[in-house]
Amino acid sequence: MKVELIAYIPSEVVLKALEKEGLKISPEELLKHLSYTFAISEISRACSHQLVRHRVASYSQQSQRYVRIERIVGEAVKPDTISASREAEAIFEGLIKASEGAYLKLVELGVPEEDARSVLPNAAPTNIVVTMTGSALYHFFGLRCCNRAQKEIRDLADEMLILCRRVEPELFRRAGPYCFQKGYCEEGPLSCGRIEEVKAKYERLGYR
Amino acid sequence: MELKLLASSPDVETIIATAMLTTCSREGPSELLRHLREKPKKVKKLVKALSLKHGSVIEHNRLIFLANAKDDEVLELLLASHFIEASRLGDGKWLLSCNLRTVVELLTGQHNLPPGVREGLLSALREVAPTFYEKVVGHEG
Repeated sequence: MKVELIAYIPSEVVLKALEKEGLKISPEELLKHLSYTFAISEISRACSHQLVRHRVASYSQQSQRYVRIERIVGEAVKPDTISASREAEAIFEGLIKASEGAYLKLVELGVPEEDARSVLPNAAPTNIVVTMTGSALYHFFGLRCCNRAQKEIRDLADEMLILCRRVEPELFRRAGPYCFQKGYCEEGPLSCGRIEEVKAKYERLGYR
Repeated sequence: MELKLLASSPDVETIIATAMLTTCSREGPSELLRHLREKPKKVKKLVKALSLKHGSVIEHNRLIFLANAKDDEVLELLLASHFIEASRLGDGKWLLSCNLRTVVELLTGQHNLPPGVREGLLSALREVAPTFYEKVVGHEG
């Protein structure tokens, strides 16, 4: 997974411009107007499916219609829980190899890429450009930094939060999973039960 | 309504070109951006070739405006587009923001925009994305 913050508007620029006019704005209101654009590569299609469910955002994703897949063996995104077991890993690798073979054969038979992709797995890698406002990011972090989120998108959310904190340490100080933002867990019986550990992690994440 | 551009995302047209190529390239967006930053002519060519129907690639940016406006003018604008964010700053002063897709939709759609809005949006568009501005003005006829 590769994540880069490629464009944003520094809060200072807006605050200074407002100050010149004798105006002020709260951090919460300002977050609605600032946007952050990330370049994300080598995540799985499973992860991007979860990402694009956050609808208050903009996405430009690598097309499986216009980009012919050359190989997925060695490039598919393998979850750690599969790597942890030799038997599980063998099943995964077998499926990836079969899937790649089936895809390439279908393309060879003249099936268009947009239809041949039907045999590609959720582990197939993808690239995407994502833009969210600061307030949309707070919501995204609230849900996806949570221990209940799947590992890959949690790792992605953590990386994005680190990048935001690097450029706007104060504005994103309270960002993180909802237990960190609100002080209590909303997951009820599904809670990870490790709220203090999670809070300690997000107090520090991205700060030196 | 008087609109003044306070701030905008950097490299708007380069990011548009990056988003365009991300959808149809094997390369990742970071590599594409690095490559495009060194090729301003290619960026211009890509932005000129962009179909206005493909709106998502022009959403990766933000334009932030200071508006002098009456409440009903702001309401009228918010009814014209659901994608404008508005914060009241004081008497008749508002912070408004949106991305280029919203700007284009407001400029090219059948909207009764409050007086001054069209001029403010066109001026901002020309400033942040001059190649794209030519395209939109051409599209408007």
